[in-house]
Order: sequence, then C-alpha cells, then structure tokens
Amino acid sequence: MKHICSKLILLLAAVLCALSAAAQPATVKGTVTDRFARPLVGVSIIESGTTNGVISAGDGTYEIEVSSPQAMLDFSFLGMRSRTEQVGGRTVLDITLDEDALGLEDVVVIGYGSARKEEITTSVSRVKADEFIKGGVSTPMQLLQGRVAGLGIATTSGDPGGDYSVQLRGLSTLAASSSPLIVIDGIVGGSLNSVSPEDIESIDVLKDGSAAAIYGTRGTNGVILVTTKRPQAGKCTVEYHGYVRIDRMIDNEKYPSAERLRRLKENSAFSAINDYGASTDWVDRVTRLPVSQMHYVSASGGNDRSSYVASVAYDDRRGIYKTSFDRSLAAKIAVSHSMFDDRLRLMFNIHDRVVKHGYAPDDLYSQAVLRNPTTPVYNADGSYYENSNGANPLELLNENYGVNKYNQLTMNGKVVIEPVRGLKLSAMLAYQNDYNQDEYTTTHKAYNATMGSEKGSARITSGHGDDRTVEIQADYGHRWGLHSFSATLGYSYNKYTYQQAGMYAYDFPIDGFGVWNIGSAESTRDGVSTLSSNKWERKLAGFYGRVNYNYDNRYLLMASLRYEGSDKFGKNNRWGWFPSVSVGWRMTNEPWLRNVRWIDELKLRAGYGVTGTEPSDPYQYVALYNFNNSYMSYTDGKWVSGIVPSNNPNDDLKWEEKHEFNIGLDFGFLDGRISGSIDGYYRYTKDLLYTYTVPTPPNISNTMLANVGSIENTGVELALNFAIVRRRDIDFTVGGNMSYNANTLKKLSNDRYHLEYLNLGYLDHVQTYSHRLEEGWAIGNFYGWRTVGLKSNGTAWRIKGAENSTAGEEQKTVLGNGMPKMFAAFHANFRYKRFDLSVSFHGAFKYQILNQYRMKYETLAWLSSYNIPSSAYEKVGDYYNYAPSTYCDRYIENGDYLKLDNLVLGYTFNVDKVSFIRSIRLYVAGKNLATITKYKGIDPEAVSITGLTPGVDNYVKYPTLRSYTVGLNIVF
Amino acid sequence: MKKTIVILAAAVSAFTACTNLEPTIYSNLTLDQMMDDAKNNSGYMLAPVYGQMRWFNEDRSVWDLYELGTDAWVVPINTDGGWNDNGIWQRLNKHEWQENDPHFSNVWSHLWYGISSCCNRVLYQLESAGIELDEATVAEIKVARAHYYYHLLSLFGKVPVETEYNVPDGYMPRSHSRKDVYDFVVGEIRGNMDKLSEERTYSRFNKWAAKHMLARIYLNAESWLGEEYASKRDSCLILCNEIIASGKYSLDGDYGHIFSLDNVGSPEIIFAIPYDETTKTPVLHCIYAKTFHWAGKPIYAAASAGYNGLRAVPSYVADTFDAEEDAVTHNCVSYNDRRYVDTYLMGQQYDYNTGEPLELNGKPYNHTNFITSPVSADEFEGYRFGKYEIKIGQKWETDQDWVVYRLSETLMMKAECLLRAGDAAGAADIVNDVRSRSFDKSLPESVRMLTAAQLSADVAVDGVTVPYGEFLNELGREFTGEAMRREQLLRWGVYTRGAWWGHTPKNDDHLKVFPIPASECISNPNLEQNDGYVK
Repeated sequence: MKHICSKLILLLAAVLCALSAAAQPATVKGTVTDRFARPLVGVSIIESGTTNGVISAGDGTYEIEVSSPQAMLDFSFLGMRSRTEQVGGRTVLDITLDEDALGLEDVVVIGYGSARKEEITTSVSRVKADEFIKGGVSTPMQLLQGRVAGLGIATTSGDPGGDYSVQLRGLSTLAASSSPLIVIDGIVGGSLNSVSPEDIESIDVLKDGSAAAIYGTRGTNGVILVTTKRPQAGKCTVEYHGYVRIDRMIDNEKYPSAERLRRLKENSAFSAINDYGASTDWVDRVTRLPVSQMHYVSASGGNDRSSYVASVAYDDRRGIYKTSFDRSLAAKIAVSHSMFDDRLRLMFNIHDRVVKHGYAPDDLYSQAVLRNPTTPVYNADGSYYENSNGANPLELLNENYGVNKYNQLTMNGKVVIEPVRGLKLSAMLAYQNDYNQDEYTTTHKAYNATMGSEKGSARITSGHGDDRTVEIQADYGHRWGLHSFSATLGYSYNKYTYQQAGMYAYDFPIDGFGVWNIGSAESTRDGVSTLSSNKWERKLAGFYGRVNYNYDNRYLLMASLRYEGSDKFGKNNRWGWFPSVSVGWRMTNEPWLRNVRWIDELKLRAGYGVTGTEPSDPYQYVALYNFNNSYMSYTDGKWVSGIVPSNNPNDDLKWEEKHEFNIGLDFGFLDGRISGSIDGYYRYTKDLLYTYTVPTPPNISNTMLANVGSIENTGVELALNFAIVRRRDIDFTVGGNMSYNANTLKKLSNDRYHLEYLNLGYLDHVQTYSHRLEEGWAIGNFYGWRTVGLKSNGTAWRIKGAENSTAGEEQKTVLGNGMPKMFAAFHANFRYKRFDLSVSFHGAFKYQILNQYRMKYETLAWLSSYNIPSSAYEKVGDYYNYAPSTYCDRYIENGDYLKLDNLVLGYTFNVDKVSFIRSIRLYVAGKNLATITKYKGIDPEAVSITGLTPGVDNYVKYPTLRSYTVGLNIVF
Repeated sequence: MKKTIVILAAAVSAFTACTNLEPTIYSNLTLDQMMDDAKNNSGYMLAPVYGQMRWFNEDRSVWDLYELGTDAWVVPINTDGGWNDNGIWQRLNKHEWQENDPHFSNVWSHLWYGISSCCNRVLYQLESAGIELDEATVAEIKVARAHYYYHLLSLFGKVPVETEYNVPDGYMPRSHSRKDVYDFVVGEIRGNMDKLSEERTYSRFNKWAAKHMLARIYLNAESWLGEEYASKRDSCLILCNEIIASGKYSLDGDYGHIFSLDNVGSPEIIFAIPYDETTKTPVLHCIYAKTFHWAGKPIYAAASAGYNGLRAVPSYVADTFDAEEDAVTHNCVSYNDRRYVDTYLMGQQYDYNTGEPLELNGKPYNHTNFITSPVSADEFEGYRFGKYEIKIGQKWETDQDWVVYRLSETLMMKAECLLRAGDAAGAADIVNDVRSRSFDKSLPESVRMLTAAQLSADVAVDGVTVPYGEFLNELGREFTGEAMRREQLLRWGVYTRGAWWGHTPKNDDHLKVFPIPASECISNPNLEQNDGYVK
C-alpha cells in the first residue's frame, strides 16, 4: 500500500513538473550579496506565484529557469529584507539584500493566522528566541517578564512550581479572570506552564482590542500566543541544554535571635518575653540549600517533504524546604508532511508533560519566622514541643506534606489543502487533557493529632479536565498590481469538561500508609470519611472572519469579526458579536519619505475592537438545586437530607464587553540603530460581572451575579531599542520599555442593582477590610485609618479624626493604592568576540504595599506569644507600642522597586575544528540579584498586583528566592 | 428539488449541531428534574423547613441577639486581642450597634431564607407540581414559617410580610408595621395550630408547640406594641392552661436531664432543634465552641477546642443565683440552687483521663466569676456556658439537641400572667413547683420556696427598681442562656435602663428593636428603617 502511494505521488509530481516545463522558458542567473558585497549563501529565489525556486550557492550565485521573461523573482533570506524584482528580459540579475534590523519581515502570529510585522496594524508585541534571556530561565513566564510594554508580570512566590501574577493594560474586570488567554501553536486555552521554555520559538502578545477581538469572549485580557519549535527541513540538528541551579533566600524578616531576646527581656518593658531556655533558629532549621537541574535534548530534521522535531526535557526543581520540589518530564513530537506539490500538508503534534509537585504547608515560613526562638524543637521524650501559638515549624515540615501529580497532554492534527493557488482550507482537531491528583497527609505527630483531634489524616483529590477543539478555516490571498488582499473565515467549537473526585479520612491506626490505605482509617470504619465528586462542562462555539487589505505597502487595513456563543449564558444573551477594525499607514513607503535615508520605518496605526469576558463558573443562569446537609432535618427518628437551591439564577447574564481604541506608531531610524514603538489606548469595559446584594425577600438568597458596572483604563506604552555597536567582534544593544496605566471605576450600580461601594479584602487577624472601591475611584485603594501616634499608655493608636474617642468607619480614608501605575524594564546585551553578557532589570512604580507582617506583629501586644519583629522593640514617639494589631496607614509602604532580575555571562567555544559540533556555549546566570526599594518587607515583587485587592503582602507565603545557574548548551 | 431540500436539511442540521450550546448539567438537579419527580423529592424538599432553624444557634446568629447585650452574657476582648472582631461584640455589649454590623444581616438572611426558600418556595413548587399536601402538612409548614416570622417580629419589628414565592420580576417587598406583622403571625398560628398533630413530636411543630409559641408572643405583645396589648396575657393564660391540661408533658425530675445528650427522652420538651455531629455546619455554637477555652479539651477529652469567647456577666451570676462566692478568689464557696452549677462551667477544671488539675503556662485552669474588663479578659476569667452536657470526645460539630420550648416555660408564662393579674399566690405555687427539683429537700422552706410577697415586691434588678423583680430573677435562674433574656428584660423595662457589669444604660427606646440591616435597605428601597436608625 505504502509502495503504491509513493508511486502515485511520484507520478503526480512528474505530471506537475512536466506541466510547468511546458511553459515558455527563460533562464536568469546572478549573484546575491549583502551591503558589504559579501556573497549570501542559501537565499531563496522563487518565481512569484509559483513554487519554482532555487537556493543561492556557496559563492552567492544562482541560476533559475523562469516561465517567461516578464516573470517576477522573490529574493528572501532570514534576517534580510526581501526584495521582488521583475526579470524584465534580463538574463543576469545581481541583487543586494539589506539587513532587516527592525525585523519587519518577521512573521508575527496574530491569531488564526500570521502576518509580516510590517503589515501589522494592531498592538502586538513579539519576543523571539534570539531575544530571550539566555540562561537562568526556568519557566516560559520568565521569558516574557519585562519584555512586553504593558504586560506586568510579578513572581509572587519561591515555590519551584512557579507562581506569577500577570496583568495586561490594567484591570478590566471586577470578578472574572484577569489572566491573558494562552494560545499554544494555535490551540486556544492551554497552560503556559505546560511548555518547556527551551521548546519555545517565539511569543507574541496581542494587546489591544482590535488584535484580540478575533478571540471573542476570551480576548479581553489580551492573548499570549506561543509558537514552539516547528519541524524544519534541512540537516539533522541535535541540541542539548542543561543546567544546575542553586537557590538562596534573598533575605529574611528582621526579628531577634534567642540570645537577643534574652537580652531584651532584661528590660522591664519587655519582661513578658517568654524564655523557654532553648536557642533555635527556626528558619534555618526548616530550610535547605536546594540544588536543581534541568536537561533538555531535541532533534530536528527532515527533507522538503517531511520534517520532524522531537524533544525531551527533564526538569528537577527543588525548593528551600525538603518536601518542596517540582519534578517534570516533558516530551514532544511534531511531524509535518507535505505532498502534491505542497497542496496538501499534514501536521501532527503530541506533547505531554508529567509533573510531580511537592509542597509543604503554606504557613511553614510564617510559623518559622514567628516562633519564639527560645522554644526547643523537641521535648525530652523526643516528641515535638508544641504550644498554643501555632504549630512547631519542624513538625509542620516533617509531619504534613502534599504531593500534586499532574499530567498535561496535548494532541493535535491539522490538515491544510490548497485546491487552487491562494486558497487554503484547513481543519484542526485538538485534544488537551489535564489530569491532576493531589495527595495530602498528616501523621500522628502532626499538630492536628497532638493538639487536635485527628490522629493522622489523608486526602486525595483528583481532577480531570478534558478539552476538545475543532477548527475549520479557509484562507485566501490575492495580489494584483499594488493591491494585496487576504481573507480568513473559520468556525471553532470547544468543549471543556472537568470532573473531580475526592476522599478524606482520618484517625489512622498507624503512620506510614500516607494516602494509600484510606480504608484502614477509623473514620472510614465509622462511616464518617468524606467522599465527594462533581462534574461540569462548558461549551463555546464561534464563527470568525478577517480581511486584510494592503495598498502598495502604504495603506493597510485589517477588519475582523467573531460571532460567538457560550453555554454559560441564557438564551437571550447566548450569542454576541465581536468586531474590530484597524488601519495602518506606512509613511516610509510614501514617495516623500522613501528617500530619507535615516528613517527606516515609520508606521502609524489605529484600531478599535470589542472583546468579552465570561464569568468563571458555568450554569449561573440555570436554576439549580442540590442536596445539602446543612439543611437536613430530623424527622420521625431519622435524618432527612434537604434539597435547596444551589444558586440564585440570573436569566439576563451575559459577558463583560470591552471596547478599546488603540493608536500607535512604529519607528526605526539610522539603519535600524534606533527602533521602537509607542502606543496609547483607551479601554472601556461595561456590563461588568459582580455578585450583588439583592433584597431578601423576594430573593431566596441575598446575592446574585449580574452585569452592572463599567471600568475605564487609559494608558501609554513605549518600547525602545538601541543597537549601539554592531560590529563583527563587538555587539552592544540596549532596550527597554515602560508603560503607564490609569484606571477608574465608572459605574457600580444601575436601577436594579445598587452598591455604594465595595469593601474588599477581609483581613482576618484585624477583622476589617483592606480596600474600598467606589465609583470614580481607581481599583486598589487601601482604605483605613490614619494614625497620629499612640495613646498615652501605648495600648491603642490615636486615630486621626477621633483622637480622643473610639474610631469608626467615619474616620477611614484612602491610604494609598496597591496597583502599580507604571511598569518599566531595561535590558542590555553585550558581546565581545566569544563572550556575551546580558543584564535585565524590571520594576513597578507608583503604588503602595500593605505590609501585613508589620501590621500584625509589630506590636508588643504579641510579645509573650510570638517572636515579633525587631522594630517592635522601638518606641513610637514617647511610648512602647502595646496596641492591638491595627490596620492603618503605618503599614502602608511605598512599593516602588527596580530589580536586577537577571545577569548572564556566556562564552561560546570555538568548535571550527570539530566537525560534528556546531556550537558549545557555557554560561553562568544569576536571577533576582538585587532590588532597589524602600519597601521594608523581603521582596516587593512577591506581592500580588492583580485583582481587586492588589498590593497586600501576606506574611503567610513562600519567600521568593535568588538563584545562581551554570549551564551548557551544545548543538550537534 | 428533492436533492436541494436534502442538502438544505443537512446543512441546517449540521449548523444546529455546530451551534448547540444547551448546557449539560452533571452534579446538580435542574428545576425540571426536581419537579418531574416531586413526589419522591417532596421529603427532601420539606426537610429545610426545620433544617434551616439549626442556623439560629450558629455564631453571629439569632441566639447572639437574644443573649448578648443583655445582663447575662458577654463576649469581651481577650488579652491576646482575640474577639476584637472590629468591635462587633463590644458594640453589642454596649448597645452601640451599627446598621451594617454582621449580626443583623446574618440573622435577617437566616430568617428570610427560612421563610422564602424553605417555606414559600416549597409550598409553591409542590403545589405547581400537583403534589397534594395534606392539611396537617400545610399547616405545619405555615406554623414553622410563623416561627421564623416571630423572630423577625421580636428582633426587628417592622418587616415585610411575604407568603408568595412566585412574584413578578423586579418586585420589591414593602415594610409592614410591627402591629401588622404581629397580626399576621398570630393569625397564621391561630388558623393552623388546631390542624396539627396532638401527639408529642419533639423536633416538629405539633399543636402544643404552636400554642406555646403563640402564648410567648401574647406574653410579649405589650412590650412590643404598647399597653393596650397587656390584655393579650389573658389569651396567653388560656393557651398555657390548654398545654398543661393536655397532659402530654410533665416537668423533668432532673433539671440537668433536659440539656443532656439523651434529652430526646425528657418529658418536658415541647419543641427541640436536633443537631448531628457528622454534618459540618451549622453547629450549636454557644454551648461549646464559643465558650470553652482552647486549652480545655482535656476536660471532656474533646476532639476540638473552643474559641474562648462567651462568658457569663459576673454581676448577673452574683445577683441572680443563691450562692456564696469567695471575695478574693471569686470561686464558688457554697450554693443552694442546683441550677447554679447546672448552668455554668466554673472553678478548677480537671483532665478527664488523668483527673489531674489542668493548667496553662503555670496558670491554673480555673474559671472565676471575675473578668478584668470587657476589653481585657484574661484566659480563664468568667464563668462559661455549661448548661448542656458536653460529650466525651466533643467536637465543634455538636450532637446536642437545642431545647426551644419546654413545659417549664409554659408554667412560668402562666405564673407571670397570674402574677401580673394580681394572683401572686397562684403564681408562687407554680414557681415553687418548678423550683422544687433544684433544691435539696433538707433545705429550709425559706431557701427552697419563694413567697407571694417576695414575687410581687418591687425589687431592684440591674439597678432599676421594678415590680415583680424577684420573678424576673427567677426567670433568670430557670432559663439562663435559653435565648429568652432580651425579651424578659424588655417585659420588665430593664433592657435599655439597666446597668450591669461592663454596661451603662443608654435609656433610649429605639434600642428595643434592632436596625434593619444596612445592606437590605440599600438593595430594597421599599424597606423602612426602624426609628432612631440610619437608613
């Protein structure tokens, strides 16, 4: 069968060749050189509109037979600006190609298609492989950090699994997700963590509404399009990349040691300090020096018909606690095959990542910080020394642990047919499967056994997400004279099903089973172990289309439209339209600017687009009922479960709708030495989803999800790059970006749903809220009391406005704002001969942070219970502070920071004499090396900057770390 | 032509398949599913009629509003800062509550959920599903609903009266005067009580539980609506006599048994709300979690520890009970009335397993009748709620059943009616009947019994001299912690005028009802706020 197939293909190919050979031939030859007259090898020379092409030889020469003397020839070469020349009867055609310093010919992924950078009319940022930080990167998010103007990314924890807070162009929602949509190789809705950073070829970020509108209800928060390494024809390449990394804690909270405490106790003001006689450095006892390693091998190759890329990555990341780790194995195979003279292309891709993530209890670090250092670790009998002030940190570490195992699988196949030239029909099926299982164990020695009621406990929760996508698409492109036109029309259907099951048991006869013998637990025997399961589904269907028109590379137009429906909404609002239009004017191609040599590129862009946001949970408009034991009753001698409504349905529920205007300018001057772009935007989101208080009666419960409010975000973004030195031996480039965003809540109420303001972010230990949001305010305002010093005995704060009375809500005022208004980043790359050095900085500015550690513990009120911060032993004014923990302006600190995020020094060896090795590079890298800030906490970056309560630094956290990496990269 | 139709039909069906967005629901019942099998589901649908009442005793719910802010109970701020809670407990203690304090919105939603979702909705849905409920079941649901309304009437006064579930879109209920609400509740109970079972039912409303509830409403009517409602005590008396005459209930010989783990067998209980340890929420909060110290687990080899919040007001303990206290240690020296020790957890506590006295950081685990101050209460200061038997291995999740109505209260209501009508001797007979089980027979009569003269004398309670003050004290001795103190103090006019430990009177009548929750006033502009509060 295979034999017959290949024979058929050969026959078809022969026929096609014969057909083209039958046309009137002419031969053209020449040499292709760069502007220094050096020959260019491997330039693709193709007769326009055909597949007839050749490649320039070792000396830059070529020879091609064309169909007619009037044929056009397209010359293209990676990194050079393409040229199209009419043969015009010539037989010799020498060509000089200019360097494409601005990357104008880069193909940018724009969602359901791609376009050359020069044709883009929307706000899209691209980060390419050669711009990636080359060392010390362990997650895809780190590749983007500081690289895209307007995309704020903060590393919020030192957990080896990686934890980020991401926000694009301010906050456009109140209750729905603010995470950008992730699209990996065209598959919508993936997880950025599922990809190895080594596998990534480029990342494009669709920022404005006109770019993202084609993604409809999922486009509001921007779209991150990841393109992984694709099969490429050519010589087989094998690459190895490996590194070893160690992590250290950046810093610690400032608190006294056991010895210092004993000295402090001598002061009568601090006599309440409890001295238990021991000296324990708790943070030191629970942490370690973790050594992580990563190994990545990939191979790619093939011929002009079939090609492949395959890779395996083993990543063993370890955390500062011994139970904290993230070990993964990822494998990928992508195969592409084309036949019938490229009229049929088949692509297959399988990617799987298996992860085992270990974690310690969340409060381990805070317990270690707060534990009285004079307490011993163990009692005389070897059991843990426990008291009422929280668990013994070493017990927390050793006797409570969790493992989360998960598996992220993506399989997809795509077929593209080109029945006539210019028309491509494609169909894609994608299946994504995420399976996760969480296992959590506590032993007989854990706090909840020795101080609590559960003699050992075990919990298993497993979840399974199943995501299926079908996409059918037609693309058509045509060029006539100076006009160029292309259109895309498609349909997509996506169904996501999630199912979950869990069990929980306690009181185990012995330790040692972990979670793997829940049947032996006494709670199971007694019938009180907990079992649960649930399943839900979400369906999304969309029709989309886009047209691009380009006149003479001067006037550009793009318009797109998506008609999308979601089963998260009732019949009335199930379907919606998401249009966009954008235009571009390439002034550099105007006759009056074409000859201005120092201007390489000047493009003005303007766009408008509508996108949406869905609510997070499904079924919110359907009246649902469920059994609920909270409402059971005792009837005739037995318990009867109650059925009660499980939601308060809203028939009118619909998506949030964002309208965005964007205007931008792309520029490049002085032979590409200076380039960049500037963008300004205005985004208005209406019908914001929020849970409103509704009256009871008539409602059965007093909350309902409704579309009411509106938010406005306005901002500017600037990206600049300087190629300062561009020589054979020395290369020095500097780049940076900054963005500024202002945000206002325009409306919170309508005639049906009323809210004067939202009190947000309940602070458990002081039992008040941290933020307030009112119409006309920016999101993220801290709202509380201002203090004017301590009352005379030091046992309470004097609150401004109520100096001599009890302060209440009336005295509260805006104390700051937790959402950074400005982000900036800066990076420099320097290469001298075989050495390369790169540094990158990023920072967030114009915002405040609530330092919860200080707020709760910087008072002598906790003296006898916890190891309070060193600062608590200082007088405030005339008095020592014995006031109860109070939420007030004292603990709102300036959050501005600038961080030396990454420094990489590399050396590329000379391997000219080793025929089987193409390159070897050795590097050392440091990450999170230094922070310039006035913030008193450990790391201002570790504070979440998204959502309605940004800027709250929790003292329960996994501290962020500083890492040092040594890596080796070999290409065979 | 045929071909075209086929192609068109295929195209249409393909299009509808591509655009099918009907939701698939796996883990919930849709309304249709529930209604299609309403016959089978009706038992489950009716369970919340009573199930919701278990929320009354959760933290920050109905119990708190009847007992905190009275002379009997207090939640002070602990020396470690615990129970500060942004001042909500302090404001209750001091009668300085605010319209947006969480207690009011919690209680409001717990009560209205009972009315709207558990009663009105279920009645409507079962009716529209064509399920014929028998007369007694409908009457029972309506009386249970009246029970929710009774608390709205007592706590808030001016509230909407809603009996329909199926209301037009955008419908906003209006407030009714307290008198209208009273008339509605009384009418509902009167119209339905005789349709109920006459048998003892324990956890469901029977005829006698309904009559008891109505009697209590009549007894309180004067304090809610004014002097012209004083005559309602005649109706109260009739109802009490009917309950007594039914012979279904008798006084339990052992006071402690009424609040024991097997109180289902107590002959005195007319209506109780059962709890079950295996459900997470709601729990019976005041008897354990709210009041026990977190280091007190060994006392009952308990599985969970308490939060060390609720404590007895020292002045109340000293003034109400016939007991002698050491002036220095504030520990009990002697007592005559057994209800004193049955009501409180007091004194040194011991490890259940070893019998060793408990201590914490060298400090003896000893509950004394002394609290330093409402804003600085040390570890073990103050007596604790100790009326209910605590299980060996007690958890936060409670297994105890909450006693709502019991015969002793029926008798004392009768006694109060007689006393206020001038029959002090008749009242004294009843009071002494109830008292007799709580005193040793060897004690002299003057200790065991109260005389008609004592009961009808003007006596100072909480610094206010009131007629029948000793009867009020007797109500305290018998019913401390049973969610009745606020109504008792209101009937005697002491609630806003009395001074007790940590509390100075505000002498302001608007405090006799609580504010309509601020959030409700905002979301329903038709609601009227109670006088003296800000809308």
